Amino acid sequence: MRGLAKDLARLVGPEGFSTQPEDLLVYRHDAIAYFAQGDPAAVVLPTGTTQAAKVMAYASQHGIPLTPRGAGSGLSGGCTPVRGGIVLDTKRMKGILEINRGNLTARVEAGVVLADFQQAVEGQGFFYPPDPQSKSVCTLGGNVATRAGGPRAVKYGTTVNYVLGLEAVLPDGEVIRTGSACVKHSAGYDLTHLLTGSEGTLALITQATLRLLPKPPATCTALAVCPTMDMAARIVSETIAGGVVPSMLELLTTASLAVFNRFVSPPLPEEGEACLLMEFDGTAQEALRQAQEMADACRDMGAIDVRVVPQTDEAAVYWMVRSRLYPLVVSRFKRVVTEDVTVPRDRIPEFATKVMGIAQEMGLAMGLTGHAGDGNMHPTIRMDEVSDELQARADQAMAKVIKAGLALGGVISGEHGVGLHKAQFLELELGREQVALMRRIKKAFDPTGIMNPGKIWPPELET
Amino acid sequence: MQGLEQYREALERCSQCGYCQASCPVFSQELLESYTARGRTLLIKAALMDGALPVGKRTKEIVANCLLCGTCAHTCPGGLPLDEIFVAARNQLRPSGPAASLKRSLHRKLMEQRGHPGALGKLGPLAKTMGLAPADLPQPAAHPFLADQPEVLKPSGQMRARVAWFVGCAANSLHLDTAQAVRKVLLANGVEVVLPQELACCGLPALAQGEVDMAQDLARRNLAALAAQEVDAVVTECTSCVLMLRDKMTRLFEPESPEAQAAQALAPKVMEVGAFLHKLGLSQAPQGRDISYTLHQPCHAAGFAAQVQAGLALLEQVPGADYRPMADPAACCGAGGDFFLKNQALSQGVRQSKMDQIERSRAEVVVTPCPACRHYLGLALGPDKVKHPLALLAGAYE
Repeated sequence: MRGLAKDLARLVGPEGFSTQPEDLLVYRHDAIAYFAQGDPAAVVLPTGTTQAAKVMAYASQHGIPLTPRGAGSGLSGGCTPVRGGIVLDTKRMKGILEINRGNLTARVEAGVVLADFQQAVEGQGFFYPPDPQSKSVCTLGGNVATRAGGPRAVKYGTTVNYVLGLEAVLPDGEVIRTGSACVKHSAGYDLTHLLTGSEGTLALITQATLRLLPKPPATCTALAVCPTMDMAARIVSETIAGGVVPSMLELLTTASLAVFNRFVSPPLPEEGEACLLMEFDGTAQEALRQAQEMADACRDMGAIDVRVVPQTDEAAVYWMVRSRLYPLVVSRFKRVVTEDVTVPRDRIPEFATKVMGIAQEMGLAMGLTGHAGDGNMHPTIRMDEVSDELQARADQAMAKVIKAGLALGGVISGEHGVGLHKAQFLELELGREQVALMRRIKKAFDPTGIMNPGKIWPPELET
Repeated sequence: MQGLEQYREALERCSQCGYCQASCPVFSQELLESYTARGRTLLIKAALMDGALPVGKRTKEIVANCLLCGTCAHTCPGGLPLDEIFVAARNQLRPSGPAASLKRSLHRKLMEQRGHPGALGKLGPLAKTMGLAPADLPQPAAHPFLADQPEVLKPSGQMRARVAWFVGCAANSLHLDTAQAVRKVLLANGVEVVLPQELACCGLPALAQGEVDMAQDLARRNLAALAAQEVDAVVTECTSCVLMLRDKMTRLFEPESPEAQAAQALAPKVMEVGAFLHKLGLSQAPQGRDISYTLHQPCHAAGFAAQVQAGLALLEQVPGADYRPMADPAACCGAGGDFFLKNQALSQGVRQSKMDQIERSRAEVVVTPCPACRHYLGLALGPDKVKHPLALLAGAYE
C-alpha cells in the first residue's frame, strides 16, 4: 500500500489518521486479546459522514480491507482487522444531533458513547434502556452494528428494539438513509434492521435515529444468594412464568459475592453456588412492592440471604460492581473464554445443568453468569495457564455448550455478535440455505468484499 | 524497583477491556486509542519490554503524552498499577548526554531546595526572553516562605494539636499566599506547627520524569526528617505531596526494606491540611465573607477525594460564602504538573472543557488544593480567581 499515508492525508488531513506502528498496536485489538490476529496499515478517524465516505470510496477503488470500529470493547473479534488494511475509527463522530421531545426520538452520530447519551437523555427525563456493560466506553454505532444489549433486555429489549433509522455509507462511498423518525414505517425492505447487527460487513453506520422512552420514576434493587445454581435458575423461570417482569435480572456465581463485599455493607454471605441481582422499576411504591414480593418468593424457595435495596445511590454500587465483573474476572486468570449463548427462559435450568455437566466432563473450571432474565447466559472457561492442549479442550467444551444451547431452541449469540468468535457456528444455527442467502446479500452491498473481511462466517464461505 | 520487568505479570493480567477510555483526559481530547492505558501498555510491552518494536520518536511521544493523573488506575476493573507502569517506562526512556545530565542536576537542586532556585531564579525572566524557557513557566518569589520561619510556630491560644507541616515546593516558592493562609488558619485554631528544616521536595516531580533514584533519595531524606517528630499528624497543603507521602512513597522501595517500612508507618499520619482541620474542628469561628466559590478537585486526589471534600466542608462554615458546584469537579484541568508546558495544544483543549464548567457554575473564584491546577487555571482565569481553599478560609479571619 504505497502512498497510503499521502492519500489519507489528502482525504482526512494529517491529524485524521495514523500509519505509525506505535499507534496501530492497539487497533489490532478488541476486548479479548486472542482476537488480535492482523496488523492494520492505517487507522483513520473521520470527523463526519463526508470524510468517512471519501475514505470508503478510496478503500473500494484500491481494494483495501476496511474494518469499522467503535470503542474496541467488543468480545467477539468483530472489530479486529484480521486482513489488515484500514481501521475506520468512528469515535470522532460524536455529535448528539437532536433530542426530539415531541417525537420521543434522538438522532446521533455513530461515535457517541452510550453512557454520555444516556446521561444526556436522562437529563431531559427520557430513558434509553439498552445497556451493554461496557456502557462507559462503548459507542452507539458499535451497539447498533452488533445489536448489543445488557441486563435491561429482560424488560426493554436490546438496541435492535430502539433503532428507527440509519445513515450509512456503502462501500463505494454512497450515502443512504434508511428507515425514518416515524414510529410506524411500512415501505420497502427494512434495511434499517438488516444493517443493525451486520457487524460492519455491509456498510459503515454513521448516524442513527433512536427511539426513547419516558424515564421510569423509581427503581428498587434486590439480591438473593442461592444454595444451588439449579435453584437460582428455577427462580428465574418461575418469576417470568408468574408474570413479574424485573427491569434487570442477573444470575451471578458465588465468586462475585466476594467482589460485592469489597464495596457493600453489611457483607453478603459468601456461600452457595449462585446469586440473583435484580431491579424493578415503576413508581417508588410499585418498584418496592415488586422487589419485596420477589424477595419473599426467594426466601420461600430456600435462598440463603435476601436483601432489598431501595436507595438508588446504594443500589448503584451493586450495579457498578456488576458492570466490572467481567474484566475483573479476566484480570485474575491467564485466559478466559466467554460464551454468549441465549436460550428460551424456561430452558435456563436445563441449560445450567448441561453447562455444569460439560465443565465436569471436560475437566475445566467453568463459571456461569448472565442476564438470566432474558435467557442470555455467559458461560466462561477460566484458565490459570495457557497451552495448546488446554485451548483445544476449551474450544471443544464451548462447541458442546453451543450445541447444547441450540438443542434447547437457543441461539449462538445473544448480544456480542458473531465476529470471529462464532463464525464457524453460524451455519449450525441458521442452516446452509439461510447463510447462502446472507452471502448473496453481502455481495449486493459489498461486491469487492472490502467490508470487515474474515468475519461472521468462516473463510471457506467467503467468495 | 527493578524497572518495567516487575510489572510483567500485571501487564499480562490486562483484560484489554478498554474501560480506561472512559477516564483519560488526554484520550478525551485526541480520541486516538494509542493514548489510552490499553494502548500505552500494549506499546510499552512491545517496544520497551519484548523488543517487538524498535523504540523510536513516536514511542517516546506516547509515553510522554500522559498527565500521570492516575485516573486510569482508579477506573481499571483489574486494578492494574497503570501510573506506576508509566513512570517505569519513563525511567527506561530517560535521555542521556551532557545536556540531560545538566538538566537533571538542576532539577535535583531545585527539589532539594524545596522549589526555590536561589540565585539561579534571576535567570528565569532572561531565559524566557531568550525563548529558552516557556513563557507559562511560573516565576518564583524572591524570598521563599521558609526563609524566615522559625522551626516551631506557637498557636495564639491554647494548644489543641501538634503537627509537622510539610510545606510543598509551590507554597514555599511560588504561592506564598497559600503558605501564609495555612499558617494563619492553623495558628488561629490552636495548632502548634513544626517545620522540620531537613525536608526536601516530596519527589513526585522526579517520578513524573521517570527519575526513580532521585525520588528515592528525596524520600529517604523526608522519611528521616519526619520520623524524628512527635506530632499528631503530618499535614500538607499540596495534593501531590499528599499523594506522594500517603501512597506513592510506600511503593517506591523494595517491599519489606527499612525505607518501605518507614513509609508505611508514615502514610496513615499524612493528611491534607483542610481535612486535618475539619477533623480537629475550628475553635475560632470564621467571620462572614461575601464570596461565591466552586471547587476543582485535582486528579491527584482521586484516591483520597474524601480529604478534599472535608476541606470543602470547612469552607461551608464561613457565613455568607456560597458554594456553587460545577458539573464534574474531578474532571482534569489539563495542567498535569508541568505537562502543560510541553503539550500546549492538548492541555489547552482539556482546560477549555473545565473553563466551560467553571463559567456555568457562575462562581467568583475557584478553590483547589493543587498548585499546578491553580497555576494553570489561573493563567486562563487570572491569578486572583484561583486560590487554595484555606486562603478563602484565612480571608474570614481578618
